[in-house]
Amino acid sequence: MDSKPILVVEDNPDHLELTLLALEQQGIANEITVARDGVEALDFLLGQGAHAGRDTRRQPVLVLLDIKLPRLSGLDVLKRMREDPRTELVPVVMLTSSGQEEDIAASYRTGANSFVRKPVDFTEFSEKLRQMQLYWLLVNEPMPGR
Amino acid sequence: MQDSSPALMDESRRALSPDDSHPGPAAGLGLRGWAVVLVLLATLPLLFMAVLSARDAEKEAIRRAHAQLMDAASLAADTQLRIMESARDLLIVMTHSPQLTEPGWPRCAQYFAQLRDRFPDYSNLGVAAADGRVVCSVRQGAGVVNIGDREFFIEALRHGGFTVSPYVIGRLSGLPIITFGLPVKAGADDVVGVAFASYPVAVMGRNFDQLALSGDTEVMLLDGRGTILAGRTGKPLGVGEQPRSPTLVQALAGRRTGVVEGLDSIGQLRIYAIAPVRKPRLQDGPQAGDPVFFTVVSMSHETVLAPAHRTLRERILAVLLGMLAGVAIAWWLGSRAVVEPALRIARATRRIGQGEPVGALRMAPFAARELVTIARDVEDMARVLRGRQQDLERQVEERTAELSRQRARFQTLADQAPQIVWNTDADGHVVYVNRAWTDLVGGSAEQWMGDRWTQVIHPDDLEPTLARWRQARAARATFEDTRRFRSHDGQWHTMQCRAAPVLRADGTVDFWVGVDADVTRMERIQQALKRSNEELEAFSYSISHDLRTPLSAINGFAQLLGRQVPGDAGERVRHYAARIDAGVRQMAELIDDLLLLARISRAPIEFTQVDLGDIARHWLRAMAQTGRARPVKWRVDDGLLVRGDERLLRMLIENLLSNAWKFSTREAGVDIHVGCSQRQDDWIVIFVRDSGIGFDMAYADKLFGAFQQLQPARESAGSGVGLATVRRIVQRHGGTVWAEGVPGQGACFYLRLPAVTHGVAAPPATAGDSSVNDHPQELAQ
Repeated sequence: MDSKPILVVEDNPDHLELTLLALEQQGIANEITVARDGVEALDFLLGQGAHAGRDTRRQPVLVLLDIKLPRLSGLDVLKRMREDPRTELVPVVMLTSSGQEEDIAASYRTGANSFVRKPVDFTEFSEKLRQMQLYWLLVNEPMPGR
Repeated sequence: MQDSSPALMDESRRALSPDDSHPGPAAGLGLRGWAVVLVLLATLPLLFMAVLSARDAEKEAIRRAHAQLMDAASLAADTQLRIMESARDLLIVMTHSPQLTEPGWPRCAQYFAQLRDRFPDYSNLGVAAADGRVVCSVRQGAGVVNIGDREFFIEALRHGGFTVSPYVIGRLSGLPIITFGLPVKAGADDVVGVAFASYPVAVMGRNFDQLALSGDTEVMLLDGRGTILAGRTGKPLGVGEQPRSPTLVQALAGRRTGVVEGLDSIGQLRIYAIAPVRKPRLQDGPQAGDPVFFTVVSMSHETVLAPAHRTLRERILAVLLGMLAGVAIAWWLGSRAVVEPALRIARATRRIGQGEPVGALRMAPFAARELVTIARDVEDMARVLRGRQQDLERQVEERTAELSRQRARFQTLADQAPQIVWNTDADGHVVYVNRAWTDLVGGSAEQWMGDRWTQVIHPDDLEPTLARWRQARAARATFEDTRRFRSHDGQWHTMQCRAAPVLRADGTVDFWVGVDADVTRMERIQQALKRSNEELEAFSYSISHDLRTPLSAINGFAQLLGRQVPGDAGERVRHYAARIDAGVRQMAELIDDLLLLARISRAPIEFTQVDLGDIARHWLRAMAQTGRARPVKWRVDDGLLVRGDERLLRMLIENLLSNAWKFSTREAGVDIHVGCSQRQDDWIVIFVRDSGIGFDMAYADKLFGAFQQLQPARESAGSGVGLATVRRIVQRHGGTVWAEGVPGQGACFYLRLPAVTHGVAAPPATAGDSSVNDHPQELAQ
C-alpha cells in the first residue's frame, strides 16, 4: 500500500479521538498524522519548525482540516497551502462542525476540494469518513507525476 | 389686477390726448373747423355771382351813359342850332327891311337904334357895305370899323348865303363872339352889303347847366376848328383854345361824331359824346355842309361806374356778413352738436381707460344723433366694464383671502412640522425657515435669512454640502445631503436634507423648498443595531461551532460506551446511549433552527416571481418517497404566484408543510391543502391547511414566537423555532401571517404575500375556470 499519510488537523481532543477511532474502525492502512493547530499543520506540510528536515516531497494523500483552530485558522492554513507549490495540489477536505454558509463559500474560494459538516451522530460521522476515504483514496485518481 | 404694464398705460394715455381741451390728434381740422370750411365754401359762389352781376351792371351803366351823353350832346347841338336859326331869321328880317335895302342906308342908324333894345342877347347888330365898311350898327363905332377881312363877310359876298364866323374877338365889342352874316340885296342878285349879327360865346353856353347830368359832367361848345367857345366844366375853361384832351382833339380833327372813349387831359378815362351842329339853310330844311360847331358832353368812367361799384361793394359786404353769421352759427352749432358731446365722450372713455367710474353722459339737445348713439354705447360699455371690474375685484378679494388662508395653513403646517422646512430664493439664499429650525439653533427666523446657516454647520461638512448644493442648483435637480448642525446648546445634530426646486413655466427656478430631518437619534439607533447584528453574527457562529462541538463528543462517546459493554448490562447502557443520542439530535436540530432564524433575519432579499404551488408539490412528492409510512392525502391549487425571494419562500413552505406533516402523525388519513383564499391587485393570501391535531385558538398569538410549542415535545418532533422562522420570512416580505385552528380538527395557516402584478407576469391560464384544481391524490405508503 501507498504509505502516504492522512493529515488530520483537529484541536478538540474529543473530536480527534472520535475521528481517529472512526478511521481506525475503517481499517485504513495509511499512516495518520495529527496536527493540533494550524501552525503545527503548516510546519508538517512545509517541513519547518518541529518538522524541519522532513521530506516535503512526501505530502499527505488527504488533509482533513478543521476550520476553527488555535493560532492559525483552517482557512489560513489552506491559503498558505495553496500558495506553496509543494502543497498546492494536495486534496483538502474541510471537516468542521460549523455549517455557516460564509465558511463554506470561503473554503471553496480558498481552494478546498470538499467541505464536510461533522454530524453530531457518531455513526453517521463514521459513515461519512468511510465514504470520504473510499472516494479520495480509491475512487479518485490523484495528480500524476509524484 | 393692477399689473397692466406701465408702458401700456402710457401708450393709451398718449393715444387719448395729453390735453383735455384738444382731444384727438393735434394736427388736422376739428369737426367744428370742417363745418366752418363748409360754410365758407357755400358762400364762395355768392361772391362770384356778386362780382359777375357787378360786371353786368358796369356794362349797362356804360351803355346807358353813352346814350345819355349822346342825348345831352344832341340837345346842346339843337340849342346851338336854334341860336343860329334865330340869328338867321333875324338877319333875313333885317335884310328884307326897307331901311337896309334902300340905297345909301339913310335910315339905317335909326333902325338899329330900334333893334338895340329888342335883341339884348346880341353883342352887336349891323350892316357893312360891300367894301367892308360898317355902315350902321347897334354899337358905337359904325363907319370906323371895316370887316371886309372877316371870313363870314367874304363868304357872304361871294356865295350870297347865310354864313357863320369862327371864333373871333369882336372889333367893336371886344368880346369873344361868333358873327352871322347875310348879304343885303338891293334887287335880284344886287348885293350892296352884308348884314351881320354878333353873338357872344358866353351867352351861347348859357343853358349848358341844364344839361349837366352830374357834377362830373362837362359840356363844351367848340367851333368847326375845334376851338373852345363855351362850356361848363369843373376846370377853368380855356375859351379860344384847343381842348387839352388828346382823345377829343384827335376825334375833332377827324371830324368824328358819336361816342368816343379815351383819356382826358389829366389821364382819366372819359366818355365823350360829340354831336355836330351844321349851318342852317336860308329856308327851313335839313342842314347841310360841314359842322360849324361841335357840342361835346363828357363824363369820367369813374363817375359812370360809381353806382355799379357801390352796389358791388354793398353786395360783397352783405355776403361777407352772411358768411360771418354762417360761420358763427356753424361754430356754435358744431360746438353744441358735435364738439362738446364728442369731448364729453372722449373724457368718459378716458375715465373708463383709467378705471374711474363713469355715470350717465348728459347730451345737449342739439347733439348729433350718431354721437348720442355712441354716448349710449359708451355708457353701456362703462356699465359692463364696471360690472366686470367689480366681479374681478370680488374674485381678487376671494383669492386674496384664499391665498392668505393657504398661507396661514402652510405657516401653521410648517411650524408644527417636526422637521425643518426652509425656502430659498432662486439664487439659493434662505428666505424662510420654520420654527423647527429656530428651536434647533435658537434665535429668530429673521436672523437666519441669507447664508447664515453656514455659521452653524460642522466645519467638516461645510465644503461637501456647498459642493452638492451648487451641483443641485446647476442641474436644477433634487438636493440630498446629510450634514451636522450645531444646536443652541452646542450639540451636533445630524440632519438629513432633501430639497427640490420649484420651476416657473419657462423652466427657470422660482424658489427652492427643502426639508431637514433630525436623524441623530436614528443614526445612533442604526449604529447600535449594526453593532448588535455583528454581535449576533459572532454569537451565531460560536453557537454553530462551539455548541455543536461538545454534542458530537457526547454522542460519539455515548455510542462507543454502548458498544463497550456486552450482555444485558450492555442493553441497558445502549438504551441510555440511545436516549443521550436522541437528546443530542434534538439539541443539534434546535441549534440549526436557531441559526436559520438568525440567518433569514439578515439575509438579503431578492424579489422574483415564485410559484409556491410548485415548491409545495415538489416537497410533498419528495416526502412521500422518503417512505415514512403515513397515509397523507394532499392537494395543491394552481396559480399560487407570489413575488419574493425564492430561497426564503422555499424555506417558508417547507416549514409549514413539514409542520402539517408532523402534526398529522397520529391521524389516520391527513389531508393537506395548499391554496389561495383571497387575491387583490397587490396582495395574495395563501393558506396551508391540514386536518391534523390543530390547536386551541386561545394560543393563536403565541404560535409564532420562538420556543413556543403548544404540544408536548414528545408528541411531535420540532424545536419550536419553525413558526418563528415562518413569521420572520413573511415579515421580511412585508406580509402578515396568521393561523386558525380547532383542537383535533386541524389548523390553517394564512400567508399574505406580495402578488405578482400583471405587468410582471401573466396569471396562470387555469385561474379563470378552475382555480381549485384537484390534484391526483397521491397516497403515501
